[in-house]
Amino acid sequence: MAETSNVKHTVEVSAKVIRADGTVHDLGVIAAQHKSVLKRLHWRLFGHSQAQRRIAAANAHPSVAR
Amino acid sequence: MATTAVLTAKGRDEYQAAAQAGTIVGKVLGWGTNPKAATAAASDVALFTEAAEARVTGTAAVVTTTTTNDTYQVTGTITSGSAQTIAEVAITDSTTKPFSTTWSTAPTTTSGTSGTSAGSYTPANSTYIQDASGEVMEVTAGTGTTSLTVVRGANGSTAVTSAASNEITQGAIPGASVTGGNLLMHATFTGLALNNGDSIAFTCQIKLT
Repeated sequence: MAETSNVKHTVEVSAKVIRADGTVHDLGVIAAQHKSVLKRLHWRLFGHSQAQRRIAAANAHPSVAR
Repeated sequence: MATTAVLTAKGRDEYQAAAQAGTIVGKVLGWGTNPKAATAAASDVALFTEAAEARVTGTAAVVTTTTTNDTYQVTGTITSGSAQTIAEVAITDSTTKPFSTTWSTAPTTTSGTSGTSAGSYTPANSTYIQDASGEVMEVTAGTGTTSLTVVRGANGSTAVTSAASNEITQGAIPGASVTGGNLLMHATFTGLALNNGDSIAFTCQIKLT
């Protein structure tokens, strides 16, 4: 039976990048799917772009390669 | 690639089973590189391309988001052993990694039904593989060999043109179980550039309605 499941649910993944030198980049929510229409809209309009900016900032400050 | 996080079809299956048995669903975290920039979907059965680091047993908890104890949460930290870009994370129920190899010759376009794997396909026939492109295929013939016959777009996934060197990883669909291959939650995101010794501390939250 084909599984096209997408039961109503909310999933959020938050992340902190911890560099080897101890520097911490708190990225907040970096991936999400929301059941709530308002939360889904908020993520699309604001949350996603915020995550992109934070990820870009973290990637711009790497640790020194060992 | 769309940034998203999903409870997979297998994850829903596990939730029901855990509720019935009074146990907890998986809390093991694994990550990957997602080189094809695929988007996580409920039909996924494995990470698109799992990275070399060992999976980590996380900490599971039931927390409150809106109403009391409405959210299942797994936290854990994985440390990179090399310079790489991590672009996916998943919750599974085992630290064992499932069978994985690559295509030497991938099935053609979106309808080809035969391909050649780099390594001998050790799982049995009538098992499922996750292609790095995002598609799930059912291997119907070829166990013990490198010549595989597949059904495209399995488990509700969409057939996508694959390519040689794409990772293919065994995984379980609802109703089945594969050691290391029970994918419960899968998320894809913009790649995080890491050097050797860098870590990512993940917090994964699932709230069912």
